Amino acid sequence: MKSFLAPILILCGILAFSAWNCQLMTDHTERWSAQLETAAALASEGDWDAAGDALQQSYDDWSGHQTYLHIVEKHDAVDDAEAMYRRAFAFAGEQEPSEFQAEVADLRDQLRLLAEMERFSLKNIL
Amino acid sequence: MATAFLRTVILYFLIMAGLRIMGKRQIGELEPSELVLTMMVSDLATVPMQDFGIPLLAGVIPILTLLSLSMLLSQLSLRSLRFRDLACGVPTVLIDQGRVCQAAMRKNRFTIDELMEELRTQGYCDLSAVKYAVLENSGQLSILPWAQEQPPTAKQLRQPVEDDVTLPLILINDGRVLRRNLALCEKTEDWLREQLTARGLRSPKEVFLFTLAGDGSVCCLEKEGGR
Repeated sequence: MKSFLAPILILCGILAFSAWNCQLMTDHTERWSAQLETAAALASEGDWDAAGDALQQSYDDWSGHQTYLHIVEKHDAVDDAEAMYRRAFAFAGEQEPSEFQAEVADLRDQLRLLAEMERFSLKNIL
Repeated sequence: MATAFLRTVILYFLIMAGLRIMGKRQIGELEPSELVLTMMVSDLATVPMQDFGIPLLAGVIPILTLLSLSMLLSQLSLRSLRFRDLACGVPTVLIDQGRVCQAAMRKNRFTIDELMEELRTQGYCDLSAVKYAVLENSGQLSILPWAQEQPPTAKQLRQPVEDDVTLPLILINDGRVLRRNLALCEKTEDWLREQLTARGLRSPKEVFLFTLAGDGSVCCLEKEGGR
């Protein structure tokens, strides 16, 4: 039985890591998305300072996980989200409501895709 | 550049470790599952090595998964003959008692030209010289000729022969003394030095190859331009 143990442990380890990573990515992206939703709501009320703060909070949280994201995600997908954050900052600075709302919506969609790529789903497997 | 270097080093050692675990057969004769594994592992390793946009983990996890699965299947094959037949297949007899098994050839998509080519490769130009031909799981054809087509052995001739087959041990390999082999053949470094002195050599560094056979015969090759 010992000879079976090593491969089974490795496979279980990989499986457990994959499941943990899926849950972690879902939690992170949902949190960043909620922060962005707050920023969008504040911007629609015309409170650009608070919207900028909410966006900054989301960006700081996102930036703190850059290393991990680059380890587990395709770099292109992470870089695209990073560029969207930058554009959202620029629109917030210019106080452009429609562009800001559109950029934040795209960014939230991109974050959702990041989590979706890690999910155990038939769509991903096939 | 540093990324490419580090990724190459990591993936190289990972594959090396995998091939070592899988044993020597991996290098030579491959069974279907082993061939697929080798092809997939080598292909998987090159993707994150060349494309920096893909995380290294995307190459490491599939390779680890493949190696673990391979180890698991090997263990299952060892324990269950039925599983081994399923995973590796069974050898097929293509020539049985000198008769070509055409149904078996068709089943294995083995043409008569390929059969004749294999026979010629192994030194048989005539089908009638072959008693058995077995297509192994590795894809190689094992050929057993009729007894009258084989050179007689000493046993068949009932001739007493001296058993002079010995396995020489390497004691010096390219200037380096292999102390483990020296201990295995119960010799000392003093004995080795004496042997070298007797051949006009001052140091093991001047020797390319030094072997000692079980019957005590020594083979010593000097290094070219070693002195």
